[in-house]
Amino acid sequence: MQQAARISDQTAVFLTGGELVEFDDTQKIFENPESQRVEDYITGKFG
Amino acid sequence: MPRQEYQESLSNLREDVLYMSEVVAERLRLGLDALEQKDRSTAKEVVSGDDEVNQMYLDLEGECVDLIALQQPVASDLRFIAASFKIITDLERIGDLAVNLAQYAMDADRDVFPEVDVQQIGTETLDMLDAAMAAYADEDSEACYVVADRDDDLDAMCEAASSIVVRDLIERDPFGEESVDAEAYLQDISRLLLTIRDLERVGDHAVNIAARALYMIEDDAALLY
Repeated sequence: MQQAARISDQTAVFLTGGELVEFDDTQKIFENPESQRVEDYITGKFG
Repeated sequence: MPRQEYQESLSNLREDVLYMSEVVAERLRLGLDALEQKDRSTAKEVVSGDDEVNQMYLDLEGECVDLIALQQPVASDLRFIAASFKIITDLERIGDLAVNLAQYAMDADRDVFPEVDVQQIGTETLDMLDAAMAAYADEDSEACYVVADRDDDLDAMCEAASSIVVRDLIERDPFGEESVDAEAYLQDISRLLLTIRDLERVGDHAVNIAARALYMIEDDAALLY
């Protein structure tokens, strides 16, 4: 995940079952994602 | 829960920052008491207590750096750590300003311009600090804006207080009166003006804290500059 943050301009987050939950600029995804599920995933609360 | 130790570290950081704010607010309260009562013993307590505040600042700075280096926080965790990292700097500076008040208290032996209500200004700054830290603790974005608005009132109070002193100097020209010890009088009014300026700066730091809290809560830089 940190590798994605370092090298990508945009990030798509697919969670359980391959569902696309959020797609946005990498900075937005890693600093203030819209989805609580994405927030919980990238901060390590699950997954 | 995954990363349980990490979650505990975040929780500890929040508690430690809030504890530091309580200690700093108490130092500020004691500094104001020392000024009001010309109490040198309380003033010395505030001055000697600054080492404790500085050590808390260094310890918390270390906690933040460790979390960033070892846990690579992102999203709300990152914003919380970044905000906390900045807030402890403001708290440490407020601690320094409390020491200034204590030093003024040690130097002062009489009140000049009793109509200038330093305690009222001080109480307002303490309330603003409490409100800013409550906004951080409760993640209350509306409260952040309220703190920023209150700073306009505080600035007006400080400006009015300074004007009383300056206008008296111009209109009454106390240095022309034989009964006035010019040197002592100059020191007294300098101390009073510095006290007002330092309290106004405490208000500015409270606004900084509110601004960092707003960034932490909403990723909003509206109050930052």
